[in-house]
Amino acid sequence: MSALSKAQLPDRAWFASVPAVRIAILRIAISAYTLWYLTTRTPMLMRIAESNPALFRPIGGVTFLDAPLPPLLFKVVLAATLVAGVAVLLGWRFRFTGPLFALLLLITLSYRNSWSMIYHSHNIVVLHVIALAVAPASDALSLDARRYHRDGHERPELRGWPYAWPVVLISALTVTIYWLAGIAKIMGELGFAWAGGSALRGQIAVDAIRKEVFLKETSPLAYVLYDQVWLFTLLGTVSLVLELLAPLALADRRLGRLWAVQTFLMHWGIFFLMGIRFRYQMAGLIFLSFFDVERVLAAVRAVRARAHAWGAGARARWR
Amino acid sequence: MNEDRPVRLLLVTMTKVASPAAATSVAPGSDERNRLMRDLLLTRYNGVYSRTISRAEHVIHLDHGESWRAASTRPSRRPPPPTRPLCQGAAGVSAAVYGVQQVNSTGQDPHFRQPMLGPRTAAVFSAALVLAAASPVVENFRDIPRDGFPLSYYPMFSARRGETYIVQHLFGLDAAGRRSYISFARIGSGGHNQVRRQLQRIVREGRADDLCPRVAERIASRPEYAHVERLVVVSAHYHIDAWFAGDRNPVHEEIHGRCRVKRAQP
Repeated sequence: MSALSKAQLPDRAWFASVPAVRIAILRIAISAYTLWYLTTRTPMLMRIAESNPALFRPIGGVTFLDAPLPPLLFKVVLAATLVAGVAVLLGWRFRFTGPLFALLLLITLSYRNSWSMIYHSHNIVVLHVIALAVAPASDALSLDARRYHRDGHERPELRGWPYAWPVVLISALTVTIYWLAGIAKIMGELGFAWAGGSALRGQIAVDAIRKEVFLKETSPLAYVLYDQVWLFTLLGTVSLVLELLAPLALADRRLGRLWAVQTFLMHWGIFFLMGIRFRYQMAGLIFLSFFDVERVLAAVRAVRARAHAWGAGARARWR
Repeated sequence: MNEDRPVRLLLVTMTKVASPAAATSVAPGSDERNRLMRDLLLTRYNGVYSRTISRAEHVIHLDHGESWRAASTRPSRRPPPPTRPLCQGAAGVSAAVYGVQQVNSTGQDPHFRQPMLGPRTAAVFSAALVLAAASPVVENFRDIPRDGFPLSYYPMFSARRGETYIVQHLFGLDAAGRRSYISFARIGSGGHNQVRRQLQRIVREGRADDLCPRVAERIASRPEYAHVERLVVVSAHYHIDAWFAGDRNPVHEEIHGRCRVKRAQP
C-alpha cells in the first residue's frame, strides 16, 4: 500500500462516496424492527409498567426518575415512541422525528430494563437509532425525498460522504459491543481460559436448568450436546476470537463481511444450543451496515423491469 | 456559503464514464448539460474528503446562477491551491459537492439538501458515540462493576460456573406431595430472566411470604394448576452433571415461603 493510500485510509472508510439509498435502507430496517419489537410487546411492557414499585431501579435514560411513572403516562410515552417510529420508517420530517424517536426509544427501553433485569440484546438497537438520528437517512426512499423531488426534475442517484459515515458508525458501534463482551470474558475469573469452553458449557447448562424450573421452552440440543466437551471448546474459542478481534472488521470491507457472517452464525448457534433469541442479531439486521445493501434494491428493480418488459412483450404478442 | 464566489470542485481519478468533455459538448445552461455534469460530479466523484488533491485530473468551476464549465475547455480564473485540503470546506467545496445548491438560476437545487452535520461535526459525533459505547469497559476493573443501559460492559456468559447451581423458584405440591414447577408468567411480569431476577431480589429482601399468596391467587383459577394444593418458594441447589444425567432433585434446598392455594368451593 502506498503512503498516499495509507494516508487516505480513514477518509476512504468514513467519508467515501456512497449512495444515499444505503443509509435509507438501514433506516427502514432498523425502524421496522424496532416497531415490530415494541408493538408485539406492548401488553408485556404495560404489565411491567404496573409491576410492584419496590422492584423499580431506574437505569439509563430514566435514571432521573425517583419512582415508576404512572402506567397511563408510560402508555403515552410508548404510543409516542411508536408514532415517531412510524415517521422514521416512512422518512417523514426525519430531521425532527429521527432524534425524537431516538430519545423516546432510549426512554422506553431504559424503563423496560429498570425492573431488576437488564437485557443486553437491545442496547445496540438504541445505539444504532441514535447514530441514525443525525444522519441524512431520509434523502432516499422516504416521504422527505418525495417532497424534494416533487418538482418533476429527474432524480439523480444521490451519493456523497454524508451517507458514508453513519453507516461506518453503525458498524463501529456493532464491533464495539462485541469487543466489550470479549473483554468482559477475559477479565472475568477464567481469563483466556474462557476459550476452553467449560464456562460456555456451564452457562448453557445453567440456562437449561433455569428454563426448566420456570417452565420456559428449553433447547433439546443442550441435553444432546452436553457431554461433547470438545464442541464447547471449539465454540468457546471461536466466540472469543470473533468478539476480541471484532474491531478488525472495520479495517477492511471483505474482512468486515466475513466477520459479520461468522458472528451471525454464532447467534444462530446460541439459539440452537440455548434457545436464546437475539432477534436483531439473528435477523441479520445488526450486520446490514457491513454490506452494500442497496444492491438488493437494484436487484429488485432489475427483476421488476424484466417482469415489466416481459409483460409488455407478452401483450404485444397477444395483439 | 458565499454565493458570489465560484464554487470549485475537484475530481480525482477513477472516472470511467461521463467525462467533462462529454458534458461540455452540450449547450451551456441546458438541462442535458446540467444532468451530465451532476451525474459526473455525484456519481463519479470519490474524493470529496480526500486529504490530497495531487491526483486531481479535472477542475470544474460552477458559476452561481449559470451553468457548469469544465476547466479543460475554459481556463480557470482563480485556480485552487493544489495542496489545500478539501476538508477545510473552503469556498464551500465539501458542502457544494454534497449540496450542489449553487447551480441553477434560483440558487436552490431541489434535489439536494445540506447534511445535518458537517464532516468535522460528524467525525466528533462518531468518535464521541463510539467512545461512549466503549466506556463501560472500565467496569471490568472495578470491585463491584455496575451494568447499565444502553451502555453496558456485557457481562453475560462471562461468569465461572461451579458444579452446582443455585436458583430461586416456586414449585407446587399436589395432594400426594408430587412437585410441579410454576411458570414464570404466573410469578411476575416480564420475560423469564426478568422474573427470575425479581424473585431473587424478593427472596433476598425476605419478601417471599408476601409473594407466595399472590402467585397462589393467580394460579387458583388456571386448569393446568388444578392439582396444586400448596406452593413453596425455594432456593434450590442443583448438581449440574446430575441434572443432565436425568436427576432433577436438588442436592440442597432452602425454603423461603409457603402457602395454600385457596379455591372457591363449587
